[in-house]
Amino acid sequence: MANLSATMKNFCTLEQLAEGRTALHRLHPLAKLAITLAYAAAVISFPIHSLSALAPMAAYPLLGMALSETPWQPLLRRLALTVPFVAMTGLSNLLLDRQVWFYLGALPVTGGLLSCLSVFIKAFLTVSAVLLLIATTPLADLTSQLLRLRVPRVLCLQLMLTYRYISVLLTEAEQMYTAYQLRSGGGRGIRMRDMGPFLGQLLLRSYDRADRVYCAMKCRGYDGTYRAGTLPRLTVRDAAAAASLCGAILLLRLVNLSLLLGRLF
Amino acid sequence: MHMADALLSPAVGGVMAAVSAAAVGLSVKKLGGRDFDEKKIPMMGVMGAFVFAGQMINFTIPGTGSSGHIGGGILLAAVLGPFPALLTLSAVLIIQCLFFADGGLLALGCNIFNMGVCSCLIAWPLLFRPILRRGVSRRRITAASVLSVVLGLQLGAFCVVLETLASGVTELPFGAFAALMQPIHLAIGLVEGLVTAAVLCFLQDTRPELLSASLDARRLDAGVSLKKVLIAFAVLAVVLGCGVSRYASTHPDGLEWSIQTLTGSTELKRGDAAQEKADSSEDTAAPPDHTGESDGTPAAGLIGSALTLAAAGGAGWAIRAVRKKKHSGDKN
Repeated sequence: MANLSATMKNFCTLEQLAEGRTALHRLHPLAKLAITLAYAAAVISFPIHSLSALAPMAAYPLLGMALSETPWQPLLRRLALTVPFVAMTGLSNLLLDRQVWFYLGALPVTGGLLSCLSVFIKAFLTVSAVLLLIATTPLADLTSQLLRLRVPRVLCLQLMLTYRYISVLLTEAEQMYTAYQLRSGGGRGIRMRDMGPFLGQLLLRSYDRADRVYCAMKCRGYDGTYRAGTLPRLTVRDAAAAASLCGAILLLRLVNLSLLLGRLF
Repeated sequence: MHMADALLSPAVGGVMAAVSAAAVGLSVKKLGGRDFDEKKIPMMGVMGAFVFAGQMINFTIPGTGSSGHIGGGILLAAVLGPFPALLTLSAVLIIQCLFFADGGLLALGCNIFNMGVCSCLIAWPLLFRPILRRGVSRRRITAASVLSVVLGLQLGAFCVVLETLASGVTELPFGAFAALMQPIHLAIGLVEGLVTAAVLCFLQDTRPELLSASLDARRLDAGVSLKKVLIAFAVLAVVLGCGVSRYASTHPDGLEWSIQTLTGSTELKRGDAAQEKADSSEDTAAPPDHTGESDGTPAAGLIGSALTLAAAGGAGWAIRAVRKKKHSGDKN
């Protein structure tokens, strides 16, 4: 199934990207987490008709992706996923708010157009910020950091285990799907009436696998606790980088750089 | 049904994150209680991966030509119990957010609530368990699954409507938005409910002990009663509903509001709708009653945006070009 193999590929790509050695990769996970959260919060806090003030915010993903050598293809794929619901909201604004705010030459610009574009740009910026985070930080480091931030142990362990077993179960599902396709004479997807036994079988296989995983973990001394790998300490350099980037984000949120620049002309 | 960051305001995102964190915290507390079963941890991990894989498998819906997939909340709750199911779904949602941009980092709270809490902590104890508690048969399983999946999805879709409206990013009126979302999710819920029922019937035929374990009330309800949790959520929902909508209507933008509070300006308190719009848009372009054209604000904004984008894009391109050259130099 194209869906399953594309998903696997996505995981592999991101995992490989996260193993890079650029300056952004070396930045402490806590610093990156703080920057990403501050950035996303700043982006979504812009009023719904903001456009010019949002433009300078694009510097972070544009420069960050270049510095961390993150390719653009995964970003485009991610955007395609986010777009439907965002498009519905954006386009309904375009249709419903027809009050003309100003004219660009002969072109009337409505409030709806501004808010529609604004929503799309916000989607682009927030999606790329999360991609930048996960393309430069391995999930294990993020989870260790979350654990240090006192996120419940069970949830962190849950994250790691689920992540580890996704590839195993996707392979299992793909095998079952191929077998189904061979027996059912092709066609797209699975017939709805076969879905019960199909998913049920997958669930039982997962359940049994969980049993075996538990036994294997027990053999290796598992006692219900999660031992995370050691994270390096947050250095002064990391803290300074995070503070200056968060400061820059706050500054761009408060000052409309585009307008200031444009007025020079 | 994933909420995106772009459709949220920081206030709504923050409030929902707090609510979901409370629900997750409660689940952790329940799980680590007296009869903590360490075996449950790997079970939850693998079942989370199962739901992830299950969501990838599309089935064809007869007579429509379209396809659907399961959400998995009720299925997980039926196998693991409501609290472990919520934790498992939360982990799946976090992974989807990070690796697939399905929902955003700030929208995580909304998504965990809409898809996890609504089905595992509200629909499951309200409908699924009461129906199956008095006896398990194929008919009861089907009724319980369809009803609880439909309720969970309806609640979730309604929350999406409320969250988007409270964030103030849409011009859609409440009635039209709800009339658009609820019927679509009713249809999705019916189909998903039937598939969930088919899976659970299959489990009942092959491994009946899997279902009965989670229905056994004694083990799961030791400690906190579900009824209390439900009442707490209902109260919270009403309080938040009133609070958020009032907050959203008087302060369209949280950060701007806090800045104004800091600087002592009380401009936003006028509450006049037109003025609010003007306030919230001051930094972009002037609305018709301002002298937008004469002071050249839109044109300046446009030129400035193009300049900043060109500068950032150019710098990014230059960095990539230099790196590429360096890499090819290294290879030679």
